[in-house]
Amino acid sequence: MDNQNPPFPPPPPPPFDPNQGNPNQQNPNMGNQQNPNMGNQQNPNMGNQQNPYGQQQNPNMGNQQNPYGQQQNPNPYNQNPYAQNTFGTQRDVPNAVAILILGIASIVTCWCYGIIGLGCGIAALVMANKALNEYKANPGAFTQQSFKNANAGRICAIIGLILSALYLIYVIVLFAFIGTSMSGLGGLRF
Amino acid sequence: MSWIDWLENHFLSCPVKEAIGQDCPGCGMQRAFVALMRGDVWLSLKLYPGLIPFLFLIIFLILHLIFKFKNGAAILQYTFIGTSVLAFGNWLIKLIFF
Repeated sequence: MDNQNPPFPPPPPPPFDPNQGNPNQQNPNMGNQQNPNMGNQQNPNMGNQQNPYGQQQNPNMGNQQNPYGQQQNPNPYNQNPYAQNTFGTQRDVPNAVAILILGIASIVTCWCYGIIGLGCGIAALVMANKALNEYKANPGAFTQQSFKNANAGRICAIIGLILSALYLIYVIVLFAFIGTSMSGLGGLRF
Repeated sequence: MSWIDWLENHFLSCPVKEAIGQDCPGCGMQRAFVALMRGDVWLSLKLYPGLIPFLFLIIFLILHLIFKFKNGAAILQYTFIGTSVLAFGNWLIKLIFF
């Protein structure tokens, strides 16, 4: 299989080579220069697939490099379209509003044994830690308003979580005390 | 007003008070809300002192999410702390002295 010839002969070189002053760095025959048998080892048609595209791409590349070689930015469409947003636009910290609402809800639901408050506080704290880690990794990419919201929600969640947990512990202890005293009464009665 | 009368006759029962016989940190909020709707602020404060900052917290949270005030997050945070202190302080006082 290694010595098997490709089923189709390689296409002829392009009739006009615009890279006259430029060495064939991105030539379609680059693979053939480095390892002529590479296409035969992996896929016999690989060389034949690369060459027609190479013929289509290489003249354009030559036109970009050679005629505009002195310019640093010959084609503005080659730039990353997202590169302008790294410093231009800022986005919100993820889940900032949800963190704020859940942090506040952790104390609003204090009447329900503290269980709902505990869940809201834990959820808000987890989301806040994740969001603030992202903010610390790249502070310039996020809006200051959303960071303040997330930070305030995190503090509210910590307070609500502590109070809910303390209240839940109190209720559990009280239930245990009531259960113990009830069982004691039952033991005395019977 | 009819809806306040209806609300006064349809209070939600506190599950904690039904279970253990003691007030929870939210007990008194509905009575205080009815008193506040009737215009009796002093009675509302006596029944549940954390209700007014609590209502302010909810309303200001909605307004802040819509209008995005500059120091809205800090105001919400301090209001939350005040509400928590009032609610749990009121609960502790009721628990100890009543």
